[in-house]
Amino acid sequence: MTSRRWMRTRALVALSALLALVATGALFVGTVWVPPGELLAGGLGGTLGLRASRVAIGIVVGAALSAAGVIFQAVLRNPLAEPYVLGVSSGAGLGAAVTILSGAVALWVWALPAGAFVGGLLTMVLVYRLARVGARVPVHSLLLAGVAVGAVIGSVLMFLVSTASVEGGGSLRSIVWWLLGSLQITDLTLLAVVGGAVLVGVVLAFVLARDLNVMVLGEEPAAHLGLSVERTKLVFFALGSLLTGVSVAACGLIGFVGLIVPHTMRMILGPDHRTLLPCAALAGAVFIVVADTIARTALAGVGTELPIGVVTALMGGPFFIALLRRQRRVTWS
Amino acid sequence: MSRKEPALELAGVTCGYDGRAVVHEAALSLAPGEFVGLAGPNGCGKTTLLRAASGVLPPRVGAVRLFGRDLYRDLAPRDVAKALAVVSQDLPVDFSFTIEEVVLMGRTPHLSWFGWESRADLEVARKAMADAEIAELADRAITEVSGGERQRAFLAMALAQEPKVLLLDEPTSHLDLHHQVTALSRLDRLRRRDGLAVLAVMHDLNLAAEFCDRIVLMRAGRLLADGPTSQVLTEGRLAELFSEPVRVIENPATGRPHVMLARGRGAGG
Amino acid sequence: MKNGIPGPETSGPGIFVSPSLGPEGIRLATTHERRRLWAAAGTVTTLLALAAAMLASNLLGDRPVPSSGSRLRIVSLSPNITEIVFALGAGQDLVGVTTACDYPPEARRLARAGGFGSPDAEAILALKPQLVVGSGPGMDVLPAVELLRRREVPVCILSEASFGDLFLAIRRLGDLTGRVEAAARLTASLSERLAAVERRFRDVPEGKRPRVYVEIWMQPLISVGASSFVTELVRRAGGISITADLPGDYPQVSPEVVVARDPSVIVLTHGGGSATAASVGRRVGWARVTAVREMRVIADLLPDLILRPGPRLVEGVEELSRRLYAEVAP
Repeated sequence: MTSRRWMRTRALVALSALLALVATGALFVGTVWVPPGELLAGGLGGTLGLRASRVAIGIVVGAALSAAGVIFQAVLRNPLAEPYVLGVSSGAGLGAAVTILSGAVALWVWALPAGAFVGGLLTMVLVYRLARVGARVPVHSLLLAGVAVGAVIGSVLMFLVSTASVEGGGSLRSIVWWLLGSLQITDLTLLAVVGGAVLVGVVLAFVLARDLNVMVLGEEPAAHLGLSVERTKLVFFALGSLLTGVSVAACGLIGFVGLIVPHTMRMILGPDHRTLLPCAALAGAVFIVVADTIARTALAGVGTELPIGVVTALMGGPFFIALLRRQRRVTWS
Repeated sequence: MSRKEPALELAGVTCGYDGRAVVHEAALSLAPGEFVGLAGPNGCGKTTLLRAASGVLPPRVGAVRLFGRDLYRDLAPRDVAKALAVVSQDLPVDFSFTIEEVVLMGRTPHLSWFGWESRADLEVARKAMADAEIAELADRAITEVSGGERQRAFLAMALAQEPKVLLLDEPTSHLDLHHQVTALSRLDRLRRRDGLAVLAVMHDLNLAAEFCDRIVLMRAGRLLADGPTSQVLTEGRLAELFSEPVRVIENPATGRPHVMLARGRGAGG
Repeated sequence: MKNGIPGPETSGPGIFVSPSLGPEGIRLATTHERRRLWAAAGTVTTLLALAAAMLASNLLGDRPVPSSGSRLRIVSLSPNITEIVFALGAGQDLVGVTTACDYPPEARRLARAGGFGSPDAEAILALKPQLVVGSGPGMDVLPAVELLRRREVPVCILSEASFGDLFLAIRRLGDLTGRVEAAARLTASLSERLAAVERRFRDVPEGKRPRVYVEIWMQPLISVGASSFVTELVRRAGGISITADLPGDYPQVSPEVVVARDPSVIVLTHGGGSATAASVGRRVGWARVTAVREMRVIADLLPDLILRPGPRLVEGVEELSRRLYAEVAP
């Protein structure tokens, strides 16, 4: 037991140090090369502030999506679950598209995040209601409902995109850019709100992490151990969905983080969620900051940025292939 | 708590799934220190009865009482778990917790809201592992041990709850002969030492006969017989219950009833 | 040639190549997308009706194009073409325009034959046009245009990548509508106005000219690149676009680039509450940009003056130049 606790402390320290390193490095690198002296002289009002805000929101979103991934993988008892599997992302995407296409974005700075968040929230409620069987919400029912609702909403979204594409160049690009994720956040208040919400969410999840361990044994064993299973499921479902919804509202759909990071951390650190949750959050933050740095520098020659969703996918795909191959070798050796 | 009050009591319990009743008007009473075996043909509702008794399947009709208090109406799951523990038939485990971590989960109902185990909790877990004879595997991952060892781990987890009532669903189904006897002897010892009330679904009648004070026979959701082992395990009753002729003799080694096949290889049909 | 009207194969050097719609299309999105959204259900019905109508017309066969005497029947596929036609005094030759054609006011009374970038082939055919004219990259490959060509309707797609293209378009339309002198007068007058603007800043060395950042869209940041006429517009107004070297016409640009290049003037072409002069200053990291510090953020220029490659483009040059070389606002 002490060895596990020891490992947790070491992992937390190592990850925190890595995050600090990566975050600092990200401040000095970007689409434009600015000499460090000039950068620091500019202070937070200039390029340094621009990059700092991106690093900040990157940390927040990376932590949120990874924590949500951990939660969903435990509640759904499936190590390949991820935050978008229950349809919240599709709903948020639709909310964002509707907001963009209706022109509301021109009226209110926060229209886009608000629209996305409301879309995600409504979808979450819909999925939960659909999945309910009597007084219980079976896990497979949740999954089915999430996939089904996600598919339906996704098709509506595609319809909107197809009708928008012909006339509205800007709207289409907004939607596509949002669907691929971006850490370009211009409003500091939004950053503060999102950051606060994620902090509360992750801390709460950490406090309840032990219940996640128990949930993993199965719902009936968890009930036998004294957990109010339905209430626990609801709390975690809401927590995971809120973390996902807030991230998606702020930065669009950034994929792979919520799947790869929890999975990897579990392979390295074991399944105890009291260790897994905070470490996954930190690791997710590191992952996103690194991905964003790549996104900002890859196309520096033409003065533009890659959408971060593309980078996470490019980082995630090969990673999974490597995982698969490693697993195959292990089984056959 | 008076000595007369049963540890666990089912009163006229009718329960089932999807609106269909599987168990009909079951009445069963379990006293502290008793070891009761529940047997019957496949599909007769044994597991369903156990689930109703353990607090996860609310009965349509009737009540389940834990030390006199209604398990579903008066007690929160946490309170139930402090007094009643269940060892399921087999738990599929995908996540590689260590045995010690699994056993510690048994302390869940006793932990404060913040959920960190104290030294006392660790002590209880260690004792439970020792009782289940699995202490030497404490640091192994539960996905890496054999079926029998896994079962001992889950027994330890149940014991870590410090229950007064223990419900087991076919605790010997995956074990070889030696381990079957060892497991039940262990249970017997524990219940005598700590006054546990034990109700076990048993498919092996002879093992049940050896270790259980009382046997309850069940068919098609109804309890057919309930009484001391030697009185319940009669040839006529068993033949009717299992639709299979048997002979019941006294085991010369132990003095307990022993059920034998009456129809062997030579018989056709 | 048929009926004196040159067919598409003899169109001049006006066939574009890049597959994106002009900036006006981008801006229009905010006003016309709203209608699109609310008519989503209606669109499905319309599509079904279109399919039925296409089927019907296929069954009925081609209708002959009647010769109409001196008056030409022109359908415009782009708002700038509409404006040019009216400016040449040939407004009465227009029988159909797009939903985006809002200038001059008379244009609004004309029949609508689809949206800008999404022409309605059936509606166009029903107007029995003798000439269909559009401009802009991407027009040539629209399915509706393909359909019109297959029906042997003369379609002329002009390029709009520069002011040179604008004058070419004016002259071309002058030829097509028989308003050759009007075209010559118009181009002469526009050239004169451009020259007048240039005289004002001719003596200012290039290094001292205002660095301008033109923002087409905010989420993501879209600006104007090397291939856009807006870059030339800025130059003719006496400024230098800070994104003039970026490839493409309307490239997505990183905010770091904008901040690093430190424009002294910012022009927002997608107005509204979410992007005002004040709100640009509140963007993280933009506080020290010269344009923000000196409060030279222009958000009230009529976008059509700088995004629509028609005759009013010159007015846009004049307006912008006036702002660039006005006294710095207090």
